[in-house]
Amino acid sequence: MKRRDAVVSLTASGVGALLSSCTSSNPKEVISDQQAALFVRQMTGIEMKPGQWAAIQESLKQSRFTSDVDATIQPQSDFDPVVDL
Amino acid sequence: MSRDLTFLSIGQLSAEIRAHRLSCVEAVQFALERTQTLDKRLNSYITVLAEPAVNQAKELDVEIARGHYRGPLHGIPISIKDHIDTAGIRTTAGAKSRLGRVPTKDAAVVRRMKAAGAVIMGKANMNKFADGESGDNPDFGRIRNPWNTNFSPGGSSGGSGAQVAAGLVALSIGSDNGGSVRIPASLCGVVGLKPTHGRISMEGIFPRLYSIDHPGPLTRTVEDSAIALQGLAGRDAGDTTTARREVPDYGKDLRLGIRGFRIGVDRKFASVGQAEVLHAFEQALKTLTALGASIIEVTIPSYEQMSLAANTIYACETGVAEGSLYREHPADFDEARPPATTGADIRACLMIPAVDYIRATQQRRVLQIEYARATRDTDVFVAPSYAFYQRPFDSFPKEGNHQFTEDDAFRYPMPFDFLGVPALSVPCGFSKDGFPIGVQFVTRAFNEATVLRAAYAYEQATDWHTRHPIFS
Repeated sequence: MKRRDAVVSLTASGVGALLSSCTSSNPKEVISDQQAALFVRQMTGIEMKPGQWAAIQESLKQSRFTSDVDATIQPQSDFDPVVDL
Repeated sequence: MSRDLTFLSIGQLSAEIRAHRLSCVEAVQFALERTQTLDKRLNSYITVLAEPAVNQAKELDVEIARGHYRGPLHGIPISIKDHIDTAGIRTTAGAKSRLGRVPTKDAAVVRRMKAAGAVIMGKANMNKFADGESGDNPDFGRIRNPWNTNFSPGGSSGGSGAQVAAGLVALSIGSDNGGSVRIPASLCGVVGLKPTHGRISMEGIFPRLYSIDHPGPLTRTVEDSAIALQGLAGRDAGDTTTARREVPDYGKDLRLGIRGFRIGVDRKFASVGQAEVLHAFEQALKTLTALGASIIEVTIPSYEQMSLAANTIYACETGVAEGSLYREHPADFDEARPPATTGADIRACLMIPAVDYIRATQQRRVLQIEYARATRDTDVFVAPSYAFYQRPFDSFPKEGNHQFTEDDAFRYPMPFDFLGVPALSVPCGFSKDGFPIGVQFVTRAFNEATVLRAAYAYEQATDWHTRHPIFS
């Protein structure tokens, strides 16, 4: 199964909001271990270990950036005040 | 050994070598003997290069005899953090699973150090995969702080900090992506410089965080930091993120003093940490004022604002770098004592939407501009280097009923990695029980000369850098 198909399949099974649930503002959605394992495998290419889903969700919560940012900003990593300010 | 070279600076050692009063071989043999005596207690090296170092020193002595003196690093014993490639010498990034990894090519920083005449004494112990600041490596053992071996020297460049503080070398090349040069510098009472992102090449260095990794020197004096940076900085074709800007003479303005300097302080930002750290910081401000500088209150973006975007960038870049390592050797992350990033974290890192990463990098741009505007009317910004003077291996410190956290640990160093601006930690005092404390000088991108100048003036007005750990 391709990744896109997996996501479509998961969406159909009612966990499409899985990623958005992994933010600090939304409560956890309850999904089965099987669904979580499929999702993790398809998204990462790595098998999930039994009982690991809660830790993955927690880690995702801390790592997501969902604030609004001006979409016109160029996201360069380096900043040179002589040139850029 | 007739002469005690233990705590001589690079400047002092090079003056001896240049004047033929000290041979490169003598300097190297002295460093080797001290390493053999002390490193059983410090565990600061993963690999010691005794024979290659002596051979390199012999060749350098021949050069001097022929009248070819390369400069202030000629014959100076140095160490290299063990995630920096060294041709023909194993480079593990602190993982036993990589013991068989022997690069065929030196990293750019190693090539530059060798070209300047520095002698590579060995590869320094570090947090596994440069991940974390505990100084606790599950594969190669805990690195010990020379000031008190029951405590950590910090990390991830913990071996580098311990070696410089204990006088095993006068210079070690580390790297900083959340404080990994400045935290060990602060806890070990030495000088740690994290230059502007792109000032020093990352080519041949274990890629942990592509947009945030900064190689940098740990030394015992600010002048030595300037000497090291002079040798390390510059455009490198092997790392396209290195800046095309010319490298200035970092020694030129070092002694000009800071009379009339405007020094920015954000009182809210600098309000977290152990009481003795905050007290030492206040004392440092008084010293700077006495030197003729004025303190200007500024408001930089908050730690919370910065960490929100930084967490996403760190996680996504970790996912790229450590995701492939995980696939090769999952046991490195799933073991009982994993690095700061666990197997579950790796999976999470690989699931963050690309949109989050792009937005976080856009937000970094916004915060870089806010920081530059907030500090526009200052010459340097100062803050504590690290919230703690004492780092137990297994936990963050507790003071009274207050338990410090990981966020407190990264509060002072991380923002300047995230922003990519230069920051230098210099000793600013000691706790009552004898642990060093650091203050950091920060400034605008590519303005390393100014942090060196300010830190040098401060260092020369104090005697903290003249104190060294005593081994019975």
